[in-house]
Amino acid sequence: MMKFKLGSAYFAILGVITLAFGGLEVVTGLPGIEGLSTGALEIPPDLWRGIIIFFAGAFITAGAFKLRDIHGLGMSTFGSIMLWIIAGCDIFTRIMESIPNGAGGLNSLEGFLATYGPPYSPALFLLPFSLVIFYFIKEVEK
Amino acid sequence: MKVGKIGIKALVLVLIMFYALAAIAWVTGVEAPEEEEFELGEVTIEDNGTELAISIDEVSEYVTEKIEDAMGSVPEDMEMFVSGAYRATLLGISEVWEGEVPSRDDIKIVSSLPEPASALCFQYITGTGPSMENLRAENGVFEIVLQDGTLVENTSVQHLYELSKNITADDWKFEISSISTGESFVVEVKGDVFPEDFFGLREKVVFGQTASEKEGQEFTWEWSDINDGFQGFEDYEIFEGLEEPAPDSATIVALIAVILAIVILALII
Repeated sequence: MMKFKLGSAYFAILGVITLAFGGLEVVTGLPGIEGLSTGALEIPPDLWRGIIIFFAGAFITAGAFKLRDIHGLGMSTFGSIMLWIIAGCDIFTRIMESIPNGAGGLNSLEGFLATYGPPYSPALFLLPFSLVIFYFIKEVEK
Repeated sequence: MKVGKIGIKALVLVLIMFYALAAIAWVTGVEAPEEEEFELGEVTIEDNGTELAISIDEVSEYVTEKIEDAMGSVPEDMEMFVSGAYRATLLGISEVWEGEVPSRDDIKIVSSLPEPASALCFQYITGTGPSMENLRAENGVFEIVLQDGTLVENTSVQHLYELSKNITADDWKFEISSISTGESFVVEVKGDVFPEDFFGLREKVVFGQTASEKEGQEFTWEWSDINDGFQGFEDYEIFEGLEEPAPDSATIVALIAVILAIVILALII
């Protein structure tokens, strides 16, 4: 029981953070507004991406309050999947960009590693935290 | 073992590796080495024992002056022809003399392009251009021979300008040779350097005077792009018969090894 209460709090916080980042991506994606960047975090100015992350956050938050229930868990899982799609695209892009060097050849070791360096999009930061959903899926299965 | 499970494990491994690489890159602060950009060199030749480094700006200045003198104004796409001819000379000299500095009187250039700006560029390099008496001590040979084998004897700006009305991508061929050794190299610009409608549009904008404002703008964009390519792309990207440098085989082996390692690890775990 305690696990699910902690889980609800965890996903509520994660959902709100996701929602906020989604909102920021939507705002920066509007015409005339530039992307934000602070430290290793970069908010890409992409309206559609922002909308998906915003709703991912909304689903995670909405499901978080009834995580023990299959519908609530389903909603949080659905939100997480939306987040994984965006983060997956970012990861795929980086992997693909790390192989060629941009001049027709293959990248050097330094160039390869540098492709994985900062800045990172919010989705890349949030992805590992959202994987906790698997634990609760297993718990509900029991 | 089910294929689906291997797939999930491989996915998890990729995720772990991605975040491990990201952590290494972040902590070490590794930066990508700056890309080596193509640098347009200078045409280096010897004129009566004196080494001359001829820059594209120097050629452009000469070409502009001669065309202005003859026609009163300069066609807007002149720069593109100068860049193309200059790049062809650079490549031709490097292929024929292989790093050696050629003597001006040993250079022979035969162009298939009946156009004044490119012709003046070649004439400047070979020292055969108009009013070059004070600029050179010796001269090479420059000729314009059309695709059908006709030698263009009248190389005046006006005449070449008229002939350039019907040029196509196939005319961009230049033979650079050493008079003393007879060794030669044919530089041929790739057809795809030019957009499909380029020469038709050129005829309409430069000669027809019937082009709309939109067509004029489109032509400007197109020749500017071609000019940028002549000044910034690698030789194999713009000229026929040159091979793209092969990727490092060690890196390919390493890459295949990484992919295999992921699959094997996914099978073991």
